[in-house]
Amino acid sequence: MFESCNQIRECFSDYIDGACARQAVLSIRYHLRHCGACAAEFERYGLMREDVRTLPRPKPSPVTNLRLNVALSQAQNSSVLGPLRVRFENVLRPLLLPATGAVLAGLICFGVTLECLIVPPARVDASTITTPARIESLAPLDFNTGTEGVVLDTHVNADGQVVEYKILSGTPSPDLKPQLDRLMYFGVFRPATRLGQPTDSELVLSLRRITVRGRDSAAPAHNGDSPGPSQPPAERSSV
Amino acid sequence: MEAARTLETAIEQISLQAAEEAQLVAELQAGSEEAFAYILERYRNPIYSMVAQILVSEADAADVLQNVFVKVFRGVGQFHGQSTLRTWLYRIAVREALNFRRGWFRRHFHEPFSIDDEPAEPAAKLAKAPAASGPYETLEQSERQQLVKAALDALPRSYRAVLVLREMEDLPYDEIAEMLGVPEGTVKSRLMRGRDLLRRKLASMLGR
Repeated sequence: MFESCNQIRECFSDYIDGACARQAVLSIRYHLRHCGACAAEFERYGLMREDVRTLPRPKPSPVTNLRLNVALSQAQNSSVLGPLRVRFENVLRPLLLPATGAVLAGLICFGVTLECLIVPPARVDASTITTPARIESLAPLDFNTGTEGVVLDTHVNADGQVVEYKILSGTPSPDLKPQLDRLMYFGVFRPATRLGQPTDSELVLSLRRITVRGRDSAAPAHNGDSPGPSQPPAERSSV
Repeated sequence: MEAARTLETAIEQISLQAAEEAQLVAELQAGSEEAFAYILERYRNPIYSMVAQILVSEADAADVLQNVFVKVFRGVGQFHGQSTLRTWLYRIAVREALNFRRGWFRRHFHEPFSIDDEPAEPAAKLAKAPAASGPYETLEQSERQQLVKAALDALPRSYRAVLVLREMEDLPYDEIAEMLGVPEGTVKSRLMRGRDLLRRKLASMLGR
């Protein structure tokens, strides 16, 4: 089957492993029995295999085992988002202190600027918020009011009209009521205001007729008085 | 009759082992820590030994061992039982070892080592060596092993891997072919050339 020793020796590897065909095995056995050189070569093959097989088997050191356990523990507890989260934190962490400082500086600047820009609220007197009703003009009195005069409590609406009045004191007479009605009707009043808007209010009027010697005329004196938050100054008119 | 009984016993043992392995794989895929600890305890030393023989450097073997078991931990769900668990583990280890440091930088980069590491002196190995007939024989055996190791390390990695798997792990051709992803004929030819190279190197070193 084999023509030379070289062919036999090329088959030693398969022969040792038992991978040769039966016919080849028989031929090699026969050749080894009769060829001393090939038998010696085959013996060296066997020694070499024995040497390789008896090589000491290295074992992992305790440090290697520890590293392996740590790597496995990390692999066990790692997730898909874990590395991304770590990267994100690593990017953001250096920016955290400057960003906080910038926000704080911005807040301080904003506060300082705001304090400069805002005008402090003016102290508003209550008297400027509300104004009492006043008399603009009143017709001359042509009736007798007596020595005490006549005191009226009038209700002036937002349009500056007297909607009703009440006689608080004075000498009653049959002609007084129509005279007062005419006086109120033709009188011009300025309505009271609250926060700049006209509003209803009460106005107290004190009427007195004054006669001046030498002339046959009457000089009525009338005072306006309001019970509102501020007392109106007395008004005086003469004809 | 006796042979038939022996064959029957062997078949029973194989089927029992297959059932146990299927259960183990099921537990691994379910995430059982105990099953993984068992795998780790059983295969850590053989895989480390094999990888260290293929890679020459034990520091590289430690890195590869770490990568292998992390891959096994993450990829055990993709194991469908086409081969035995051992073959699957060894295939990952062999491919990881053969692919380790393939680039130029990786080939030329050497990690620093500590001076506190155990020195590889014959005297140190003498204490660990099994009891031989005498101290001279033990020393001679130790030196001989160093020469064999040096000759083995001098082989190309592809030949060395096949030799290690065949001679030291005693794996059959078909499993070696499956692990390396090559045909059986390639395994045979690499084995023959590897043995021939190793024999020549040993002959020049030992003078025989």
